[in-house]
Amino acid sequence: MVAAAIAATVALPLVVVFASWRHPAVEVWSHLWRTQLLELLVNTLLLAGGVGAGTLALGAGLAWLVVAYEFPGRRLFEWALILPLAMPAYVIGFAFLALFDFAGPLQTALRRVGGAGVTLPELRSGGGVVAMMTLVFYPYVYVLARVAFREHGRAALEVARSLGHSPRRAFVTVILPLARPSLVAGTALAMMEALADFGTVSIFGYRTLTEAVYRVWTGMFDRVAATQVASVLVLLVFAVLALEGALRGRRRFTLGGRATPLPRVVLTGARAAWAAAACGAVLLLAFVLPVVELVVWARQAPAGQLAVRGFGGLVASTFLLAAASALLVATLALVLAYARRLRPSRTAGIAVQFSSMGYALPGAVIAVGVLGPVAWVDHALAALTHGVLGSPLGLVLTGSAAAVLFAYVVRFLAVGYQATEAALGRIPPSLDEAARSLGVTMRGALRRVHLPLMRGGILSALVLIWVETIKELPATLLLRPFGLKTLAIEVWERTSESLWAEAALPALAIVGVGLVPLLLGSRIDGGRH
Amino acid sequence: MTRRYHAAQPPAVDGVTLSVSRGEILALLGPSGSGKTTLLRLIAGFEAPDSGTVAIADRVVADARVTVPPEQRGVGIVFQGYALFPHLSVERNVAFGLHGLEPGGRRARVGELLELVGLPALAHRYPHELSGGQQQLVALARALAPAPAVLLLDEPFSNLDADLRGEMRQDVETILRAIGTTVVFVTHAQDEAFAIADRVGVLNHGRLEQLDRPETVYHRPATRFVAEFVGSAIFVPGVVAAAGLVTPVGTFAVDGAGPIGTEVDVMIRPDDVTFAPSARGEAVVVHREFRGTETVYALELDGGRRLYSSQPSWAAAGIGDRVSITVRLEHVVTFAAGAADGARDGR
Repeated sequence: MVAAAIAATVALPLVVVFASWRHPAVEVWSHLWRTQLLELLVNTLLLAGGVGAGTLALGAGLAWLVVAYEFPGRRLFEWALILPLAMPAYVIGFAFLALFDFAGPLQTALRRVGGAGVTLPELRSGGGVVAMMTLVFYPYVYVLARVAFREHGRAALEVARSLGHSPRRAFVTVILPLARPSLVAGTALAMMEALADFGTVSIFGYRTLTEAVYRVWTGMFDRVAATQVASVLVLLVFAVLALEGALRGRRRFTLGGRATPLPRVVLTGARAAWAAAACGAVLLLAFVLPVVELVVWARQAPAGQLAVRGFGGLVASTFLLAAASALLVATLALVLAYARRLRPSRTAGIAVQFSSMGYALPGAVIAVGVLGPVAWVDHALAALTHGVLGSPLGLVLTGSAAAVLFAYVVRFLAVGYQATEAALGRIPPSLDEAARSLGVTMRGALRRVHLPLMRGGILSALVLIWVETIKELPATLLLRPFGLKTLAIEVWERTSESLWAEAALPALAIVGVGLVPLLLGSRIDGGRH
Repeated sequence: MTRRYHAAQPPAVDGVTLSVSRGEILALLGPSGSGKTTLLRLIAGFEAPDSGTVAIADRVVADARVTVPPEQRGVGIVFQGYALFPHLSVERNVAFGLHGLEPGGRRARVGELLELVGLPALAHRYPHELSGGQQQLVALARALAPAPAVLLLDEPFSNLDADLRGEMRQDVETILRAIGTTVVFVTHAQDEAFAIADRVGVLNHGRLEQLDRPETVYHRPATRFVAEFVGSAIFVPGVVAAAGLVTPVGTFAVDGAGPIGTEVDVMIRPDDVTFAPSARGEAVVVHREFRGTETVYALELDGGRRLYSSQPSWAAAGIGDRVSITVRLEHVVTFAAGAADGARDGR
C-alpha cells in the first residue's frame, strides 16, 4: 500500500508529461517544426551517440589497462580515474570554454607564438560538447567494466588460451563479450546523463531537446508546449533503456567458479610509458587541469563581487536544501525497501520499478511534470480555503521549496533505494525470523536489528542524495522559489554571462562536494563487520 | 499438543498429523524437499497452514480463523546458520528476547543461560569472534532465554565440521535434557536423529511415513522409503513356504508375512550380510568403498543380483575375489512384492 502510494507519486510527473498531449500546442510545434525541430532531434541523437561511443571506448580501454597491466603509477591511476565523476559536465564545460576563450591563456599563447591568424577548433560545437561529456561520464563505464574484467577476466582468459587464443584475441572473443552487460549498462548511464544534461549544452549554445524544454518554457512561457517537447525527450530516454535491455540480452554472463584476479602483465620501457601517459592525459584533462584552472580563477575573482558573506549564504542555502532532500528521499527509500521486504509481492516489485524510473528522467522533464500536479494541489487548496475561510490562500506550493523537493524525490529516489536496498539485502531473512521468534514485532525488528545493521547503507544513501542534489541544475532552475539560489545555479548564471572568475569558487565548491562520496566510497559502504 | 496441517497445492507438507509431549525431543528426518523445514516454519508461524491446526501448550496458534504471529507464539528457534545479530554482543544477543524484565533480572537470566551453555566468559564478544560451535551455543542460549514452550532446531549441526558435530550433539542434548524443554528438530542425517531424539518422524514428499522410536524406525521400517532412507536397505524377492521365507540368499524364519505361497520383498541391510573367501562361493566382490571404521563391499551373485556388505575395515577382500555369503536377519522385514514406495505392510 505505502509502496504503491510512493510509486504513484513518483510516477505522476511522467503521467503529466504524456497527458499534456490532450491539448497539442499546435502553434509552438509548427513554429518548432519550421525552425529547429529537426536540428534539435539530430543534435540530441548525435550527442547521445557520440557520448555513448566515447565513454565506451575510453571507459573500457582504461579499465582494461589498469586491470590487466602493471605500469608505473598504475595503483594511483586505478583509483584516481574515477575522480572526474565529481566534476559536473557544466563545470568542466565552462572550464574548457574559459581556457579556449579568445582572450584565454591558450589562444593568447598561440597568437604570441604563431601570429594573429592561428586559431583553435571551435569548442562551442557538437564535437566540443561530446568531448566534454565523454571526459566526465566515462567513469560510469570505467567503474563497471573494471569490476567485470576483474571478476571473470582470469577464468575467461585461461579458458580461451587453453583453446589456443592469443591474449589479444581472447580479449575480443571472450572477455569483451563476458563484460558486455556491464559495458552496456555503463554506456547507457552515460548516454542518459548526456540526454539529461542542461547546463553544458546551454553554455555551449548547442541546441538539444533538454535545452529546448527550458527555452520553450522560459522564453515562450508555454508550459504545455514545453511539456510536450519533454515527452519527446522521454521517448529518447526510453529508447536508450530499451536498447540497453536488448543489448544486455537474457543470458547470464558468468563462468562460475571463484573469481580470481587477473595476473597483471608487467609493462616495461616505452609501453609502460605509453600506458602511464594515456591514463595521465585523461586524468589531466578531465580533472587536474579544470581544477587547477578553477583555483586560479577563484583567486583572481574580484573580491567585492563575490563577498564572503554572500558566498557563505549561498553555500548554506544549497547545503540545507540538499540536506532536506537527502532526509526526505532516504526516508521514502527506506519505507519502500522495507515494505518490499515485509511483503514481497508483484505489486511491490512493480512499485519499486516505477519509483526507480525517475532517475532516468532528465531534470528538465521532471520539472515540467512536477509543476502540473503541484499547481493543481495549490488551486484545490485555494478553493478549499476560499470556501472555508472566505478568502483564498495564495499559491503556497508553486514556486516554493516543496515543488523543488518533490522533483528531487522523483529524480533521486532510485539512488536512495539502491543504497538502502543493498544494505537491507545483506541482512539475511533469518535475522528477521530470529527477532520475531524472540517476541519482537517487525516494527521492533526494524529499530533493533535492521536500522543498526543498515547504518552504513543509509549513511551512504544520505551522502549520495545530498551530493546529487547539490549538483542538480535544470529542475532546481525551473522550479526554484523566487530568490533561492544554489551553487549550481550560481555557476550557470555566471558562466552564461562569461563571468568565468566569478563562477570558479562555487564550481570548486561543487567539485569538492562531489569528491566526498568518492573519497569516503568504500569506507562508508563497508560498514561494520 | 496436536498439530495438524494439510497444505493444498503443491503440498510441501501433506496431511501431517503429529503431537509432541512435554519434554520430548522429536526429530523430523527426511531428504531435502521432504517438507521438514516447512513443517518447522508452520509451527514457528513463518508460514500459515492451508488447512489444519497448530496448537502449542493447548493454545491454538493457527487454524482456519486465527494466525498468531511468530512473536506471540512462545516458540524458540535455533536457525540453520544461527542468525546471530552481528551488531550485538553475545550478551545482548541472548538478552534480545527478554521483554518485560527489569535490567537486573535480565542480566541474571543472561548469566544463567551463558552458564548453562558453558560460555560465561564470552559475554562481551561479538558473533564473528566466535567459533562455529560457540555460535551455535549462543544461538541456543538466545532461543532458550525467554523459556519457550517449544524449541525448534533447523539442521542444527549441518554448519559444523564433522569432527565437532558429535561433540556438539552430546553437549546440546545434555543442555536440552537438563532444562527438560520440548524440542522439535529437523535434520537430514539419520545418525543425528537417532542419537538425540526420543522419537523420529520420517518425512517424504510432505507426508509423514513413520513416527516412532529410533530403534523401531530402524528395525521395523513402516515403508520401503523408510527402509531405504534409514540404513540403505535393498530388497530381494522371497516366497513364504512351510520351511520359512525362501529367498535367493537363504531361508529365514518368518511370521505374519502371509499364507504359504505369498510373494514378498525382503529387506536386507549391509550389516546383515557377511562373507568369507571361498573358491566355490556364489558371489564376486565387484566394488569396495572404504569409509574409515568400515568398508562397504558390493557383491555380485552369479545371477547378477547385487548385495552390499559392511565389514570392519581391517577385514580385507580384493575386487574380483570369489566369496560365499551369509545373510543373518535379526528382524525380518517384508513388503508386498513389487509394491510401490510407501505401501504400508511392514513386518
